[in-house]
Amino acid sequence: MKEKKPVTLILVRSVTYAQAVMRALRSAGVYGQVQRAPRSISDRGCGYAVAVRDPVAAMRALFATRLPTFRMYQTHDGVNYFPYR
Amino acid sequence: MIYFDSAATAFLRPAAVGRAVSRSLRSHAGYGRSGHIAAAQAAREVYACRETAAALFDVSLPEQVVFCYNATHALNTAIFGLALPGKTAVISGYEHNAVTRPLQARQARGQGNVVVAESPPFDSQKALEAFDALLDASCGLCVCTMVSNVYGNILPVAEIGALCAKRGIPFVVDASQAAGSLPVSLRAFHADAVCMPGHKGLMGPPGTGLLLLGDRLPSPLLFGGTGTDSVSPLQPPAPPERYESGTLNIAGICGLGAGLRYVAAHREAIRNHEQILRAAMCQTLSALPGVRVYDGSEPGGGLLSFTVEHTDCEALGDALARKGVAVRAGLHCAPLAHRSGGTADTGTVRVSFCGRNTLGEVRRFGFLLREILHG
Repeated sequence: MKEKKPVTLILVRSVTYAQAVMRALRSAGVYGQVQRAPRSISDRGCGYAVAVRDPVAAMRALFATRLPTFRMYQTHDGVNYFPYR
Repeated sequence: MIYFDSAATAFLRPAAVGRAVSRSLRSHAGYGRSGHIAAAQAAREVYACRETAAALFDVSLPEQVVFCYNATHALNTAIFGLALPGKTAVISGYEHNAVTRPLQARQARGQGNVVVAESPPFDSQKALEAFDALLDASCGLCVCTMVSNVYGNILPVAEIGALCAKRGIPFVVDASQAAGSLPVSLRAFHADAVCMPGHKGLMGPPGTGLLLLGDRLPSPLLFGGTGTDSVSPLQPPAPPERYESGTLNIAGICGLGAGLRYVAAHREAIRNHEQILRAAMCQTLSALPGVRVYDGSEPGGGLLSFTVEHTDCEALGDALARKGVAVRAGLHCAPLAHRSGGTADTGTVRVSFCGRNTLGEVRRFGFLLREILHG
């Protein structure tokens, strides 16, 4: 059976920054999707995240922008999240 | 109807504005609060509107574009949030009550007095000299309108902003009568904040406004839910959410986005057309006996004021309304400007244009006014 690729969540400070991240990813040809940040990793309360399959390409795209730095988490099952290293 | 009241509210809007509002009401919900499709679509449209505004008004980042409910809301946020405590606020002699009343309230609270940089209309050199003389170490805020909403005279905001930047004074521009017609640039004005309504030259619906921010961030005016950082008892630190507590007028913002796109594509043509209409109106009015037009040698915005000897301005506004012409008469919520221009006792009749008015309407206006005044 083919192994499912993990999903990386990039935590952002608000829905506006989620859109800014999406814009940066799109212009670099990286697929991403905005979603609510899971409560278990959102220690500041409600928030948004951008889910990506290719975190390296995503970070490469984002480092080129003036957007604030992010925390990233990885999940294989959509339930358990681990800080991305 | 001949609509010459665009300085109050746009009326002849592009059809795309109404369509955008209607589409939003049918398909958007939960902006900034939820993750469902209706919220995601709203988020995309709202961000696109920020991007359009940032590009049009030379703001470094879309996140520095804050949505407000009108220019008054934006100005209150900028004034109370940027003014240095205990220091004087310097304003032009052409400010609207949206500027003078918050500053009077600030003064009444003992937070700093207000002084006016007096100058005659259509004399930008004198205006600049007046600001130069007052912008000293005692000054903790400078607010200047770009275009007077009474006479249409243009204030030298870029030069005033340069003085403020050099002296470390927060600078706020009221671009209510300029946005959508004249070039407005946060960076070129050296401004910390530029405020504008969405419902005038930007052709958006009422209940929308923009606060454009530079690097110096004001403290917020409103506090409350922003959909993020809910655990924190404090407002989020960064714009735009720091200034956007409570549910936004998403349908209005979508309409404003359509208006902004229209303006971005046509701004120069709108400006040129308004100038042609203004010149034609000046000529038409000047030909009528007893009519005084308040114009000058410098170019103006897309509006002008006039008075008629021995005629009450409000009565004339009513007579024009009965003939199917929409104008605004009175003091235009700007008694300070009327004092500066010498019309505080009489008020004026103001005619204001948009890109969709025609020269034929100006000619018809002249004919109707002659009919009212001379039978």
